Amino acid sequence: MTLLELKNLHVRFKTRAETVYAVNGVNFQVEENQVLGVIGESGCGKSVTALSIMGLLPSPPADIHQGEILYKGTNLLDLSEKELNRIRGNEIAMIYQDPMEALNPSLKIGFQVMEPLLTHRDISKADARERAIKILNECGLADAERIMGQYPHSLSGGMQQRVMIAMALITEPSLLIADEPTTALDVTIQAQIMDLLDNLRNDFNTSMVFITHDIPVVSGISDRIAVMYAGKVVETATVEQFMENQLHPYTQSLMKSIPKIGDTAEELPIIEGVVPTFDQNPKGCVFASRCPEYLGPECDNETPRLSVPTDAAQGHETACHIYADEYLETVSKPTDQTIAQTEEK
Amino acid sequence: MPTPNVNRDPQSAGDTVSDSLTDVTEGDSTTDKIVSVLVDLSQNKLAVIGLLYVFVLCVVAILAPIVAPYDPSAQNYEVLNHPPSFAHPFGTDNFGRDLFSRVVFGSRYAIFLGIVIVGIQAVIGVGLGLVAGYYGGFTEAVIMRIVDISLSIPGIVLALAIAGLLGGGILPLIIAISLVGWRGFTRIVRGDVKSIMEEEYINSAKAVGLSDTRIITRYILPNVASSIIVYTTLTLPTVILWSAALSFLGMGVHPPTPEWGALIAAGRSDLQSAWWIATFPGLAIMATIIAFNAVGDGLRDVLDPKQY
Repeated sequence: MTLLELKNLHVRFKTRAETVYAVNGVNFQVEENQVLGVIGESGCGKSVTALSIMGLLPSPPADIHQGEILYKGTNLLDLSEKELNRIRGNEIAMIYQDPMEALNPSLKIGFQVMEPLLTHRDISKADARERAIKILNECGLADAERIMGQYPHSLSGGMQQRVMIAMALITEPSLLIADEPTTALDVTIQAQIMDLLDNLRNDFNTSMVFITHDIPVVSGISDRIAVMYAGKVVETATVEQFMENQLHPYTQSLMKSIPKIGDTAEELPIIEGVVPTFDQNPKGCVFASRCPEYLGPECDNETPRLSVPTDAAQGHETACHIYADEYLETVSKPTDQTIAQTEEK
Repeated sequence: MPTPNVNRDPQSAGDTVSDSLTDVTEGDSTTDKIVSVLVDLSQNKLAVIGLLYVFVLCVVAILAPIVAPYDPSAQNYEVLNHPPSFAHPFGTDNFGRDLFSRVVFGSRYAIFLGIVIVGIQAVIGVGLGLVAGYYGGFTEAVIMRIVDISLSIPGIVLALAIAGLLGGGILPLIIAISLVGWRGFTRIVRGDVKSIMEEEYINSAKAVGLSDTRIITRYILPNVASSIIVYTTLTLPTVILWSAALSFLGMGVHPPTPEWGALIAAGRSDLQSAWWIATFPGLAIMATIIAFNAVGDGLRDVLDPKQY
């Protein structure tokens, strides 16, 4: 069953000076008990997408001007702040990039871990405390009872991230959004946190949207991968398909630029040019200006749709014109009708 | 600037479980914090002297009937306008009342007015500041414009006008100074809230699904607390000075009440013949204000080292 579905999501940021189009039509689904890894470089709209799912983008300046975010069939964008508060922290939880910043420095760990439970469940303080200690233990914090009485600054980064994870999972949410949860941590701690998340998601049957720019990190935990570039999903596939074969020219270049042990090359291949920023809804393919496979005017003018090329494996979608002649199946592309419905007001 | 625990070096935060356990002792952390703030404060000599003075002043205010050698309103026609002597350390006034006893009882008014007025100012100012900073937009614009407009009128003039309008006396004095002073709290709190709102932990509190009220009271207020404490200690002397000033100008506490400002007003006409009547209450006001300022400065250095 589809738990979360993003349909043609567009987010722009309006200020008096300019308007920046950050997310330009993101489509992806997360099935129950599935981990979706969202990969993309800095500024490609990963975090904006995550925050719009949580309804946490400050508006103004943020403006979700097109699209839908369907959670269990309801469009989260239609909900009031009060209705959203019933879902946030209860059914959808979030882990942030830097636990040092995401924990309140002036409140004890115990208070912060119990908070989601006390907010969303009718539960006594004593029970909540017991539950919090249990979940801190499950998150690998042995001396949980003591940690409950401490302030965030007296924990290390890895421990803080474990606390964040405990805080997110204490209400046993069906969906966990992890926004680069390991980026701020040491490599060894990263591995521990990834193992922990992998174990916990099996224990709790939690689906996950795992956002990162680190392909090796995400490939270990994900079931599916979605590659984002300049505010769009350019390719999605299962991890196996993805590691075996990349379809989109951007993904191909990206994979080439990852250094591998044993590589003898003097210089890593790079992608020429810079990520474009848009002051209007982009036309054509967002990668056209840097694409090694650039075909011509159609790349500049026609927006390629996410679909499965003829000789690709089932479910391996990409949005690129080089496969245009081979379009066979068109999955998850917005029909003209839905586009007309969600067209900018 | 959400660093209420600045006294603890963040670098010393443990990297392993065992490290961190030696770092923090369990127990009532609020008292721990107060103790550690006091320890840091004791490094500052001026602040220690100030704190001692404030402490003595409070004791004197509470124990005024015991400390004062005479009844402050008892008139003695044997000793009219006597200069300072052993029997009357601050001398006597033109009714033969012992000035030392009057100054001692005056400390009650200073402390009482200071605490009550600053308390009212803080409640109004902090509340409005939190609302303005948290909600932003139109709400903020309205609140901050009111602050700006009231700031364009000199405070003491406004207070004088309000007190005069209400007819003078102790209650009008409290109302007048409270209504004028809250705006400083609003400015400080609103600015702090704005910067705290940018912190990720506010987002993470929202992601938990908490209501606005809960986020404001439990997540933002504690992080603004150190600024509020510092500003309160620095406002207190101003408020004491202002209440003395209003009383001096006849819009506050009236003679024969032994309020310091009123005492000065009463001694003003005799300044040439009996300098001590106005001088000693004046010195009391001065010392009190310097002491509170020293404590406030010291506290600011301890609680908020980034702000100078």
